[in-house]
Amino acid sequence: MVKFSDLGLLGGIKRTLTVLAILIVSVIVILGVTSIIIGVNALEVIPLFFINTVFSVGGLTNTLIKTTPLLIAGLAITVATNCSLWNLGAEGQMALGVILTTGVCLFLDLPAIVLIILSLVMAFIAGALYGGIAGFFKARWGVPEVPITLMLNFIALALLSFLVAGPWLMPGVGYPRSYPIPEATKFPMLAGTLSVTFLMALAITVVVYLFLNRSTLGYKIQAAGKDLSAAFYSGMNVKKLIFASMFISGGLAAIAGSSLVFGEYFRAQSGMTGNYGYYAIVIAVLAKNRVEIVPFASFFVAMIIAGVMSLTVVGVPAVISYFLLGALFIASYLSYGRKS
Amino acid sequence: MAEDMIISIILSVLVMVPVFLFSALGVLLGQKSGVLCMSVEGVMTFGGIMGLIGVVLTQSLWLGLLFGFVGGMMFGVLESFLAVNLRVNQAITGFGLWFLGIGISGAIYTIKSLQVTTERFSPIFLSLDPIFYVSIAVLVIVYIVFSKTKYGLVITSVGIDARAADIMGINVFKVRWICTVIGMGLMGIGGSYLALNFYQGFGIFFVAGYGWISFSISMVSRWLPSNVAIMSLLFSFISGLQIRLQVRGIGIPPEFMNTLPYISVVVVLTLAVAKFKQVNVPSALGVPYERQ
Repeated sequence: MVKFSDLGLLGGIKRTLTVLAILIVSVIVILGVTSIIIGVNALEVIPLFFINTVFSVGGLTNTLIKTTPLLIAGLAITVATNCSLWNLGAEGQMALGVILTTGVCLFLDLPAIVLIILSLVMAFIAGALYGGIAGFFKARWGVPEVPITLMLNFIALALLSFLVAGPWLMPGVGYPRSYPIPEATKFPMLAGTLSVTFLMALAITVVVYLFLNRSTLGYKIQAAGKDLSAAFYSGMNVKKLIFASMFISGGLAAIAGSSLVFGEYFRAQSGMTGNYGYYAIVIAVLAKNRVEIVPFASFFVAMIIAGVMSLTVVGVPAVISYFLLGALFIASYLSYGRKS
Repeated sequence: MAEDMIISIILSVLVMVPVFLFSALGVLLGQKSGVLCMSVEGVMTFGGIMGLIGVVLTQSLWLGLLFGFVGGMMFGVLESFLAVNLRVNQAITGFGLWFLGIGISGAIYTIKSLQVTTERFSPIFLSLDPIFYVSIAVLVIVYIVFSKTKYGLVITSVGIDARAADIMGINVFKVRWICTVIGMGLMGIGGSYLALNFYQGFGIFFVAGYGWISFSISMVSRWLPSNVAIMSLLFSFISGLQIRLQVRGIGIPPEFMNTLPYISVVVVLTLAVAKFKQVNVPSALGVPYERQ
């Protein structure tokens, strides 16, 4: 039996294709069962799912737009999982990224290129410090990072909805959102509505790959993730490593927020992080610590989200995507259990 | 006049106690036996929708809570099967069931769009509803089980060293199954009570982190039922305070007042773990047991 944990380029093309086929078949089965339950024609729904996500120009563009923030956030969580930490705070860190990016672009009067670089740097620092809180508590006192990162989400999201509904509100649109960022700071479009932020996400993938596999710090983080006490007794400062991985993880997640501002929304608005931070957990689990798999996992998750959302017109509830992701989650990790 | 106000303040403090007590005791039960139960949030959501279904079908709040209990137990069966028998990483099981719970509940709600037609629970004694007293009874039972009976020792030993327990002739799998299923049933009650008595309906994300707060309560309490009672009271007070302050309007934006419970979790959890790091931890927590 093909184990999901073996999904990867290193495992050979045949194996990767087999695993992908299994995943797609399971999506088809779940969609089919759902359509039968809610009483719509499954033979109509399932082809529509694939047309709306991959086999049409508009659908593919839409999937790639969704892939962009998911990829960056997925990479962020992968950096933490490489150190055996769960950063469930990507949602909140993305919200901080949105706030900092929009804030810098709206309120500072500088040349566009300076604004873009400054806002990316500011977003990274804010997210990193936010993720670093949980990392610091974990390293200093052993406080479990899962509840802390989750609770911090609610606080950052509250800050975002406060800003867009209050001080930053653009009046007269009936929906809490800020003024758009200056025209010159918007990233150019690659094709249709797909922004250059997609390329930025791919570039970040390369950087994160090189960081984890070619740099000393990345190597140490991986060592601490594999065996904390072995890393400790070989003289590494594991507390620093725990903090560093959460710090970098938080910063990257904030960049995912920036990509939403620069490439998709061009402003801050409430709810724009759209639970991507939670979906990204699924990506990190699917990719299982391997950066080179994250883009594929992100595309797959984006496909599910975009596809299910497009099916709401025929009556399939959008929230089914959570069901699909939850099932995938467990299915993908069943192989873990048999480990001796 | 002043007395009325004091009483109403006390009541607003106590009003969230059952939600936290049921869910946190459920987590405690599961974690004592060594199962992490990270899926609280999803289980509570599913308990909420099951409670709603129960009320719509039977027009009885009590049967609604029973439905919530059964719904929670269904997730308990799933979690036990995955985490205990198949030995899936328990964090992954937790996240997976969290998503699954939200997905199923949301889908049921979108398709059927159920509405609560009955009133809330009416107060029976000291203006508190019967469920408050039921939750206190559950607390007392859990307390007695863990401090006075051999079952408590059995569960604790399974949670600390499953192999030693197995050698002593304890069926580790059975103990974990029972604890997880009952524990998740309790979380289901917590969720359905939250839906039926507070929210008076359902929304996909209506649990809004209260499951994770319950998870933290169990952790902060260092797995002692008496501490769970104190912590439930504390977080109930904070939630109640936040609602009261919002009603009074003291100039802090409501968005920030809503985050009061979450901020206090961060503070309390950090303080508790920093101070009582190694006290009473079930050392086999999250470690699947495998017979050789």
